[in-house]
Amino acid sequence: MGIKIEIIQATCIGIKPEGIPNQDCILIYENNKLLIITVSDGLGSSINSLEGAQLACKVVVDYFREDGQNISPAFLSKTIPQEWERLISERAGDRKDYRTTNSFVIILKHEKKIIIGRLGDVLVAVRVDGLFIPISSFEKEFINETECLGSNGNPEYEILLHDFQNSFELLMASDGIGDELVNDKVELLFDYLKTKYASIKRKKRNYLLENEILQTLTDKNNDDKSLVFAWSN
Amino acid sequence: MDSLNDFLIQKPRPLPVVIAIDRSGSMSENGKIDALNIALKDFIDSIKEEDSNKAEIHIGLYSFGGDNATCDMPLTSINQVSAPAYQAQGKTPMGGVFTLLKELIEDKSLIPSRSYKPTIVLLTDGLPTDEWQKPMTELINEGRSSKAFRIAMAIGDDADKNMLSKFVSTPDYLVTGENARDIRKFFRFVTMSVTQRMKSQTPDMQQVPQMPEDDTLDF
Repeated sequence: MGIKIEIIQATCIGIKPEGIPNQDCILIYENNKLLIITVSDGLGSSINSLEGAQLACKVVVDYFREDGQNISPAFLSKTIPQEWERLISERAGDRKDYRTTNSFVIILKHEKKIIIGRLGDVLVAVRVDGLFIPISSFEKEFINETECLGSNGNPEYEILLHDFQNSFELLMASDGIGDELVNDKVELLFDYLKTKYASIKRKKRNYLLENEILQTLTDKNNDDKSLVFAWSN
Repeated sequence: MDSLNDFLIQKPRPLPVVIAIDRSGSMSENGKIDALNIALKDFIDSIKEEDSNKAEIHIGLYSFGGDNATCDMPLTSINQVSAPAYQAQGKTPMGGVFTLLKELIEDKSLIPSRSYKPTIVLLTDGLPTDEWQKPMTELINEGRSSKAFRIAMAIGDDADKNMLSKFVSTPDYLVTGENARDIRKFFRFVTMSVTQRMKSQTPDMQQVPQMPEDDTLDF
């Protein structure tokens, strides 16, 4: 019998001038072999970054959905940026107008493997068989310092692999949440989200999570905010 | 824990502004140190009046004179800052202040990752009297400190403008002046630079304001 995974997700536009969209993007795909969760955060200084963010999520899902378990992680670290660049080159404007960060987590259900990819500051943290593994965005130099697709040079994903035996939980958050998390409370947030949302009917979960994120928006903390939390049952 | 808010830092993101002041003996000539003290107080008062959705200004005060460089006030929220009155004496140990600034900016316990890039403001009227080249190179070219915005004022003919031109982030960030009035004008320029960043949607993009005209000064 396959592993059963619960997922909650929400994305909220920040407080910003009228006409500027939410530049975050979440895309989730699941079949009986794998689960793909990917989160992008388009750079506020790039005019078409929402499109860049959506394309990054699409590239990730397209690469994994058909044959994910057979793709080499080393291959992915360069190939996803190359494919994103190819798609961007077909569009109007400069590539820097589409700059975005992107992270993804792939759960290979039968192999019981977790593949994590990160390019930029979308936070990813996992707890595998009860062991908390922060895959931090805290090492960046300053708040708006991040690697991204569309930057100069040849950005590559950082790829990490984990095996699990019995259970996992994972958290992904754009920097509007990830940069504001109190470092030593991240694992407590896992417990909070799992305990709270497991007891809520599935069809209400995302709505309640969205409301909860909206309550974190203030004049001083006004970025777009996206959060995905998933746990095995 | 009752909500997501309980896991988030409830303070605005810091925007550090670190001011490094020459208090060597030559600054006592022509009323320069007195003008600097007045201009520094005006600067702090005017920044306090600004409000921002994005950032909270934190001010750090460093100085160099006598025989050494000192941290006179660690980074402090603007609302709790009061301007000191500097007295001028002794040598110009500018290399020492570069070392202190480097130590400050590299320390993530003092300037956390969620801070905006710091601005360093340097005022001097003379030549360094200590070893400054290696400390300055490390400050402006290496590590985290290399990402700070660097603004400088060269006061009078004795200031090492060649050195300061290498120190600043961009040529527009080197201001030259002759007298007390120019010092106050420079601090207006710094105020405009900092407040532009505070109000910007992209505070870490380099933004060089126009130097204020004299008639915008409030004497």
